Amino acid sequence: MATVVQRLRSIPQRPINRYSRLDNEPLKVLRLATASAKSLADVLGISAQLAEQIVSHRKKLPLGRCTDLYAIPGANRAAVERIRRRSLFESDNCAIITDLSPLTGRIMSHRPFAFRLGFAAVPKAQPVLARVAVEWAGRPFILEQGITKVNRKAGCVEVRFDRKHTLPPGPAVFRAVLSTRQGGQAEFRTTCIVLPSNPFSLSLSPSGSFVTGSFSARGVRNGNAFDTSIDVTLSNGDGSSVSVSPQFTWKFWDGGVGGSLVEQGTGNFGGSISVPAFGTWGGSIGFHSPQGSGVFDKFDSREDMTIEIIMVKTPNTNVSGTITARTMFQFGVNITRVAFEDFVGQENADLDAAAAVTRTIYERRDLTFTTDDRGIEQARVGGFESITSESEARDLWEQWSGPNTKNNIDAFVVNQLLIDGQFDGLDGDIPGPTSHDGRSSGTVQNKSGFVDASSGTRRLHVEYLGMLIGHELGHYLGLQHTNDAGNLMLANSGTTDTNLTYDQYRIIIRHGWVSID
Amino acid sequence: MVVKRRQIRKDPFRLNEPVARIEGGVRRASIVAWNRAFASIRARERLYSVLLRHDPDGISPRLSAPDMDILRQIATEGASANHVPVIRRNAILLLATSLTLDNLKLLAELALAGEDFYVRSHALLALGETGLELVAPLLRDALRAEEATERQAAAAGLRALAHRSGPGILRVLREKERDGATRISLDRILHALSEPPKQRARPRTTSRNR
Repeated sequence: MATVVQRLRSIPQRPINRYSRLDNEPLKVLRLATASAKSLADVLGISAQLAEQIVSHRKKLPLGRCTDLYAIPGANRAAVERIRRRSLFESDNCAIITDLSPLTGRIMSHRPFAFRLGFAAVPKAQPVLARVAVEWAGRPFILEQGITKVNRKAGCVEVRFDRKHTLPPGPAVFRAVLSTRQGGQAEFRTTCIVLPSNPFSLSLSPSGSFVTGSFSARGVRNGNAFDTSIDVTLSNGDGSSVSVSPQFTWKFWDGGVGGSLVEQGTGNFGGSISVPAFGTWGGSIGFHSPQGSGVFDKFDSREDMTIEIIMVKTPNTNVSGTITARTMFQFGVNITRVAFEDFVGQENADLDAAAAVTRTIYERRDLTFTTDDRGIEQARVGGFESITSESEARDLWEQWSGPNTKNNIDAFVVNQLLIDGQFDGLDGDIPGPTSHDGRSSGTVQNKSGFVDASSGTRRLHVEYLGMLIGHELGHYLGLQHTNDAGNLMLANSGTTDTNLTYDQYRIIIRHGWVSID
Repeated sequence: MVVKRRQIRKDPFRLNEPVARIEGGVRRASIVAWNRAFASIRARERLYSVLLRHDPDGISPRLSAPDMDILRQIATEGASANHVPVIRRNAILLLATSLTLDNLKLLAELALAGEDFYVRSHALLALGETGLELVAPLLRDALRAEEATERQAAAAGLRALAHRSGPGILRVLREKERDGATRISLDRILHALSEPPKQRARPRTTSRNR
């Protein structure tokens, strides 16, 4: 018996400067006191008549605050909400970031680069400071830059990364914060693929991963076999497209490349592969290792391996990449929507993405989990969609649980969680019980909903909710709060606080619902 | 990126894993600007540690008057500012801990004309937490809101109000109310205040996977 390539597919690629689904979209924002009727109608999507009424109204009375809009005939609640989301009033103390993108259209590895940060502001609250935080394969760092009069006039600032701040090829997340003197702030996130200057690279990552940095692919036991899925990314830093043979060679090494070879073989993506100029191509490979194969034996005895993928680009040059593969401790989670009919289409997709973010946070530290998507009907929810006290949360855990999933942690997501007037997450106990009985058997978290400024759709904040679910699961698995910067278990962890330490890992694997294949 | 073979890392997670060596190392120096004009920016960043707390831990934050200025600022920043939603929610809710005219004016404005139903809901909850009887009509009117989230927040706000200032105010509202649906909502809130929650049979969640 030998390992075979079971699944192969190409992955649609996102733009190199908007590479993550979690990135913010560029936004057009209007200053309500000066915008023309045409731009009001075009940008805000309001009727031309209402736009004219706004312009004529502001000649008589200033539109200083949102409530002033209600004095205009035809400005109903829906219209006011639409206007408010995409415009600035003269009383606003906050500047809005409208876009963040590389100045030259791309970032090349190991070369200085600059970002153009576009913004909108009213005269009395101009931005004074721009900050860009960078998450990449190394340690995160920040660059701050004061904003000059020239910048304010231009409505943009260039944040320069000199030769001491160059980056290697691969994804990097850039988070900008723009502050006004009055303390107003706006944020913007974008992910860029740093293109190789040399000028071509092949990199491997676990399938469906969400974050930057290196971590391992996972061997998952399915009956008498292990399955391993990885993503391949080909990056082209050249000004012309590059042809790559769809055939590839795969190798599983014991330890690192050049150690002893466990198994090897070939695969074919089919068709032809052309990596666009200054662009990427992505594919996914699924390996199936039945009992009796060398890879199965290694996974079965908990040994790490290195997967190497070798492809050939024209003219006849090898490109290769490696990733560590290992089995992981795992547990199960019932992601349970409370009053599931209240979750509209995009919110369901966001919740799935948030669970994937949580899984990535744990898989970076060699722990994984399966999910069962569950729900409580609105008709039977009995008020639990809005929880305002710890005792209500404990009633929820006591009265509801997922059947046939006795080793899954019940993670309830509610429309409104507000405990002691502030907190947005709660866990039953540290560690949580290995039983669904009692008043401690689960976690509950606020769904972190908002209305998107650009589209007006209901969304969940994927990155934050993914972190929050992970934080509460961490408590259930035995973790207390910590003071380590960047740790998932900070009492006030934010979207970028996703680290777990080796000591925390050792606590988690002792929980009775965590096992290894 | 050059891979060095079989080098052992100090990180116990990565034992036996090839080390990816990055040209220029894994660190890049941060550059932080400082200016007296940025004091409010730093103060705001300190407040985030309060606004992002997840689990009840028995510690009540001490907030000063300048902190309240910043909270009011955060409370007015809309979705286009791209903040994590809980930051704005908690800023709105913390305004109820200091009953100044500025805070009450802003909460009332947000409850009536907030950017979306989430913002209005948070303001309604905060108004209920003030315990001031004068906010009762505003909460009562929100029981008729189009959005379920707002109606739930109004009911929760009225419950909070009754807890703080007694159920008498709800009874007065109930007596004066002419709208049938609102009367029923007020009855339910009054009933919930007087009755302990009933123990129900243990139901099961249903799966999307099956």
